[in-house]
Amino acid sequence: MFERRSPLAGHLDAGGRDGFDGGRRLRLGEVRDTSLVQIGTWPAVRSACAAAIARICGCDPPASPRVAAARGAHRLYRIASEELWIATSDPRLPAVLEREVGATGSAVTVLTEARVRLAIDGNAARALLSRLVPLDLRDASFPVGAFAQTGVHHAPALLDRIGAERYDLYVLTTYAGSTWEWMLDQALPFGYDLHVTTAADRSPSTTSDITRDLQ
Amino acid sequence: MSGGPHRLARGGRIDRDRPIRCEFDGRPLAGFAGDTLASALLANGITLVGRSFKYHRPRGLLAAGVEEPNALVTVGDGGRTTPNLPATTVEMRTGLRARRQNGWPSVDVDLGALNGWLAPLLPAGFYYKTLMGPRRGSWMWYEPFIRRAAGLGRAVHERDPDRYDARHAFTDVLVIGAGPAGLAAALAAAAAGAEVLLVEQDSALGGSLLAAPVTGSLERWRSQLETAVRSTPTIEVLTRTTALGAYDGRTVALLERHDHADPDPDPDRGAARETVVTLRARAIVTATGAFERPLLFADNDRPGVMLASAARTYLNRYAIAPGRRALVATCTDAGWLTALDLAAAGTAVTVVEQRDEIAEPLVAAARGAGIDVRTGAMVTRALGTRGVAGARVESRASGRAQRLDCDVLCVSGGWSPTLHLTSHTGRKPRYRPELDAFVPEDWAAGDFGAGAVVGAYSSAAAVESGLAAGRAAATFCGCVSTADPPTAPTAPAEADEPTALAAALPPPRRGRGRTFVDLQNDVTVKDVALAHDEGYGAVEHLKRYTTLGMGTDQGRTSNVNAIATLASLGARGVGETGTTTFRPPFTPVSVGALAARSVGRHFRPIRRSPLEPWHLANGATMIEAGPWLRPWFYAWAGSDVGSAYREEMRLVRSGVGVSDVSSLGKIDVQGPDAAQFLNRVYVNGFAKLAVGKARYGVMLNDDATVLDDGTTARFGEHRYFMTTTTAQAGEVMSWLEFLLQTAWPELRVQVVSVTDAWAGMSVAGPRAREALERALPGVDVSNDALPHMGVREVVLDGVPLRVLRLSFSGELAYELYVPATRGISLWEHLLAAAAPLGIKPYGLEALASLRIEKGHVAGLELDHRNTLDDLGLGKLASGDKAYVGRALRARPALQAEDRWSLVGLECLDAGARLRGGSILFASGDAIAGHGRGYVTSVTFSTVLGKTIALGLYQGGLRHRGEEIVCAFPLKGETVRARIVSPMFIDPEGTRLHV
Repeated sequence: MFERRSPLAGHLDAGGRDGFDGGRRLRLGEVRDTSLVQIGTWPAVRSACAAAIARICGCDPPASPRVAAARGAHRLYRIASEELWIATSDPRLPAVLEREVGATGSAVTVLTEARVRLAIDGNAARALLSRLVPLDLRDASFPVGAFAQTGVHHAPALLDRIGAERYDLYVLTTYAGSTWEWMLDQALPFGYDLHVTTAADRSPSTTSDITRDLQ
Repeated sequence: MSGGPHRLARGGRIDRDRPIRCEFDGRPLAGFAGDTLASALLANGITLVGRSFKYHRPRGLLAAGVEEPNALVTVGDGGRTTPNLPATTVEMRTGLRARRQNGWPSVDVDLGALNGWLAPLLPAGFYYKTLMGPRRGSWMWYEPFIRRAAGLGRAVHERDPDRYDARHAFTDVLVIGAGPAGLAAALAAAAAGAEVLLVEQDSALGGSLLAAPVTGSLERWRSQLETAVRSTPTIEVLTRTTALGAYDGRTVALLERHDHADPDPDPDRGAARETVVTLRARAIVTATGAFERPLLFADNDRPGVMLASAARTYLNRYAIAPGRRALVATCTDAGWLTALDLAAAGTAVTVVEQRDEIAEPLVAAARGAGIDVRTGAMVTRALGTRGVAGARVESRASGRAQRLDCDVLCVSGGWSPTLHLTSHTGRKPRYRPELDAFVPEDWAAGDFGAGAVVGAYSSAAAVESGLAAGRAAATFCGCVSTADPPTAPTAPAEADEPTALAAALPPPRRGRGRTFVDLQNDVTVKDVALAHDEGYGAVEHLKRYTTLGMGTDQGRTSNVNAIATLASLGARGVGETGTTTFRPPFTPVSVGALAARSVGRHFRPIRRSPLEPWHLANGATMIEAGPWLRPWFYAWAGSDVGSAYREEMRLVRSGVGVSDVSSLGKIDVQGPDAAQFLNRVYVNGFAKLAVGKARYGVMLNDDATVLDDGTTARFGEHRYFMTTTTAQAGEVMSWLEFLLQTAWPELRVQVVSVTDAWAGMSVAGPRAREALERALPGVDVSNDALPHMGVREVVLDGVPLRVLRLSFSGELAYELYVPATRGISLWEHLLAAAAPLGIKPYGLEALASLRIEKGHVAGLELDHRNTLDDLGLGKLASGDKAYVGRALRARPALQAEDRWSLVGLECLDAGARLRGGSILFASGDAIAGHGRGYVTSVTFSTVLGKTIALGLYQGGLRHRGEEIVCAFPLKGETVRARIVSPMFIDPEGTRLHV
């Protein structure tokens, strides 16, 4: 009964555009099927929470607020001292986290519907991002695996560098259309192709064994 | 093709194989690639390039760079018109269209020149005096005439079709200026391992070296330096890029210009005319060089009076003979270098040197070149009207004067280091007498200077200082040098140019003609003296009184001469007199570049409801509400809002309607201490709210004014779902985070905004329950199962659905929340299932009007100035618990009986228009001033058949029943109204509980 409709439905139909020099140096798209969970904890249950996350995701929660931890289908981000994001291509993970991590007394909020994940790929990706975010994206400052919470066109966003010329940008769902239009406008000089992709295409595997075991 | 009658047959950096024709004043103008508009004009013998600001005196080229005060032109047509560009910075290109400005009917024959005869009536600050008299309002009378007579180019009203971009950039070492010092600094910093960005406003690298003969050793050296820089992979070079401003944190604003190749770049292909770059550097080397200063003598503004460095640039860079007979008036060795180059090019040259003692090699070289040398002499007046015809030269020793003929008068009065960028960051320069110049000092950590800006005037000295600064900058960044010491291509002997100078002597006080200090603003020595006599003796006061140093050139050629003139009038020296403060931008920047892409539909982001596509496809007229775009009204109800919202209200009052409330703030509150947290945040109790229940709550700022209201539902032992008003959603979220992080860090609570996660819809009206029963057949929404303020969480078809029985309209109503991407499906399902009941969507106007009828406060009443009691919510506050704002709520001023408090208003004048914002007066009050309150919200009540309003009125409902006057002075309207309860319908709440 309840069919899903992406906030970018219709935005991706316009097709690509050639850039100033006639080329298309960017591949921009929406990453569908990403599940996103925010976990909050406090000192008394921090260890139990971390242990549960490690058991479920296969890796320890990252300590650094600048580098994502990754394991299989999951990417973990330390977004505050006691808060984590976990993005995954595994649609079953949120329920597992709610049950297992929630049992530690930690807070678990599913944000799958609250964010739209955008894919920004290509040899002009960094040049495009220099028009979107006030971040030092040089390799030494923002290597593959780095992420940052930032803002795009006045709206909050999280930028994750998943490859040499591949970035994921998480934007608020209600700002997604506006951010997308802003991004395409900024991308025009470079030229771009548009596509819809899946979370599985952005990570090496679809579902971790550990998550499967916990179903 | 010669590129103009004054073009030399050989030499220059122009590309003679690429002739260019552009349009100037509607006529063709020939030049070459590599020319500026100024050089093309000079090559074609066009020496009258503009009219002065105030007196409309004929003016010619003074300079060859950004310091040019006279040759301001308008470039482009229509929306692409850009006025006030120095012709010296406009590159020749095919398709360029430019014109002179500030002359009527033309610059050649300008009736505005009559202003010169009125000069005694137009002294410095004359327009300030019009503010004072001769009578009140005089300025208003004078202003149109003054603005018409004076001024520069004119802006246009058409939309600029061009694209302007903005981007961020980062580097280890930023080097500003690509003269010899900057080139060396870049090489040294890169050699030490730093990533370097070298920016240069010119189209070519070399700075002052570009003015040297192209066949000499200096050019070979410059070429080697450029090759070394360009072949270093860690040095990025940006030419045609100006550092506009320097800011804290070593942040520098850069302006990149891209239109040198195509004057009309195609915005539809993403081609930008300009890009503003916000650059953040770990260290900065300022190598911005210095500007040459003119000399002060009578009629020193005549076309043909030109800086010696500019004449040398036109000669050597652009292969133009600026005149056939040149007189070089100087007090610096630099003037002699110009004289030597002019003589070598076949120009008859006379040097008039203020100093008595000159380095013998210079004198010998000059005499050897056939130059007529006059030492110990000064030019006291330029002769000629529309161009220089000669000069009056006076011996300093004997005072004897004679006329010397010339058609170009080159002047060299010393150097002014380009300290604008260091001034932007608040660093005061220091006067160094041996240089007769202000030089930056007190460099901040990470900031370094090199070259002429720090007084290293010779090319060789500039390179040495550049190497040292570049190395120091890299070291500051933590780079480890691998080259020890850093090196640059070896400088030739000619790079050690003579740099001796003496301070220019002030001009004679008496004599014919005007002596201009600031050419762009027509400020004379006499004006400076007048300002001084009238009490404006401080340099900042002088600037504002005379406009000296303002305008597009920002006093680059006038600043130090003005300070010296001012100093000569008092007891203080130049150093004690000090400089004015330079502020960004360094050179004028178009507003388009500053706005960049934040124009049109990108002016600000738009926040869209998950249901927006449905609204657009189904006849909704949308309206901006804060960042949101919301359905205002629907076509089914009417073609205009005035009729449609009433129809939509009737539907809700009599049947059932559905409204998109996705924009409400939604916050997930979780944790073992969540109940306690909410109990502290809200004024009313939340500690005992049962699972499955919701409660209306009000929260205060800590000053006890109302922050927001909303409903919070409890879905689990430690899990709450808070809703806020649309307007305050972000503020509430920040407030909650602030409290948790600072006031109560011990509370185990997480708050997460889930506004974006859920699509929300309100189903309202007497038949709302029936609608839900049809749409959600498996969900028990009976009064027993889901009473007023009851909530339920169900899963339908695998999708979570939250049902909250709440009402904003005063009718039986439910709010449904479903995951955002499923919103349209639920909405459509609801409309289809309840279609037999006549369900229709209703928009924001009806939503807001329904709540006025019910007397619910909203954003217009919750303006952070009103207290609980002001809004009639005082009884809500708990008396036996602590909550934010409680302590200050008891302040006497907040308890005063005459505070403006919430009232209802019924309009008594049928057919009259009562406007929001109307000022409220008691009957009998004079309609003047701020009154006793104002109307916050107004609508037509379909239930009562009259216009009603909410408002704040002094004393509030103590005046119930009184007739008052609502005035709207902007329209001259007054309307009678009666004060009533703000709850216009169903005050008992019967409809909510059916």
